[in-house]
Amino acid sequence: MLIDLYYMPISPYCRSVQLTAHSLGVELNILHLDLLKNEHLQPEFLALNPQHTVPTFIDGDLVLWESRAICCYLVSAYGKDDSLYPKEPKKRAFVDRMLYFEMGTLGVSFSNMLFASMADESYSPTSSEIDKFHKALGYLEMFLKDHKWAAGSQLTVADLVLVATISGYVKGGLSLEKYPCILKWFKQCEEEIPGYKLLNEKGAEEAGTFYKQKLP
Amino acid sequence: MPMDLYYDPISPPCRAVMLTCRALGLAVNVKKISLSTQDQKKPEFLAINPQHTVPTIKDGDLRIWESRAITTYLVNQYGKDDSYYPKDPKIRAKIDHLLYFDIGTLFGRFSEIVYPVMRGEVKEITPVKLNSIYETLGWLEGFLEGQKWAVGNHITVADFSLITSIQTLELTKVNFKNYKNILKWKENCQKEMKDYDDVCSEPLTVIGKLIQEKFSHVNLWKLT
Repeated sequence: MLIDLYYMPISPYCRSVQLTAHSLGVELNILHLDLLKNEHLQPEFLALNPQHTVPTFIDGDLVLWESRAICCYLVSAYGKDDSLYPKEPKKRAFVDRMLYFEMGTLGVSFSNMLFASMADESYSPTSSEIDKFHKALGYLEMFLKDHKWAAGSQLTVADLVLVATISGYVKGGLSLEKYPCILKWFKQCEEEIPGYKLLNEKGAEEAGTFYKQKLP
Repeated sequence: MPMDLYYDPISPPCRAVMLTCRALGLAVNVKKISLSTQDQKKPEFLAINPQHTVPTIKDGDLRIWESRAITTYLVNQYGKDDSYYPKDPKIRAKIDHLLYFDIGTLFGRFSEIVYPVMRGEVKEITPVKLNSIYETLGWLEGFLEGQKWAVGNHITVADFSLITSIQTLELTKVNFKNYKNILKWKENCQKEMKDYDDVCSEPLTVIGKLIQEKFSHVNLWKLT
């Protein structure tokens, strides 16, 4: 049975789900939705997901959104092993901590600026908002000092989620010069994450172009 | 040896962790971190958590912050069974969805809007921001349709996170009267969550006073 994924390439949240599925050998039926054309507000999609966000994922009777929940579900339901999302509670807690960091600290510090500029053309980020974003990057730099991957010595969904987000910033002009550990990790992601070039590169470039337009 | 819990009861995510500990019957060594006096920036705490947030736990060699990573860890590690965070992938996915909804939308929007007022940085809440709160409540109302608890037939970690956000939002005088599912579910939480009053009553009184003081010049909590 097909697993459907409502998807927009510019969205890092969609790309992280694709990267996860690809790593697990799970095939997704990609259904494109262009949020910039308000396709997510069509009644049929609202009936499925009243929060009208992408990615939205349908596996049998399970209709799910929130990308990080989807990535973790994919590993639990379809992983041949648990390496991408370890079952051992302490290891899992570390992955979860990084997933919540990506959403609640790093991601939000950027998306607040992005959404403000989308709502108001005259908006310019304040220095405090820009500082907050760089502070979040500073934390990630610190976290990556002691291990190869975001949550330890092996690749996990935390890396897939983080790289989908950060690749858009990099293509949008963020220099990682001041963040050597993030830079090293990022290059490693590009080289070692299965399907990275095929599934993330183009979407990250589109995202980067969009960010440059909105936050010059 | 009981784990250390770095904790400030006025923080909703801290209370979610405490409610989880009480539900699991877990003894914790509470180390008070007072956010109002910036204890979280002191060197001893920075050595534990360089991101200087609460709640944080130290369990042997494990140091974890992010409340929703903590509550799920506690069930995975110490739960006598998995009822607070079932292992079935589909059920767990629904709980995870609501945990991310809480951090990214419910508690997320609330803290982006309310905390700047609390810090005296802004003096108004625009209609757009107000509507985003009501939009979020509308979604939660929908998720709770036909449900006693957030997911399934019993309390899960989703309820612990969601209720601590909702109980705090309620203090801002957001008009909940049209959200019948949320009101009923909140009543169930108060009646059935172990030690709910012990964990929540006093901090909510403190927060209520702070909010009244800061919001006395802000008058936009009207149902549109």
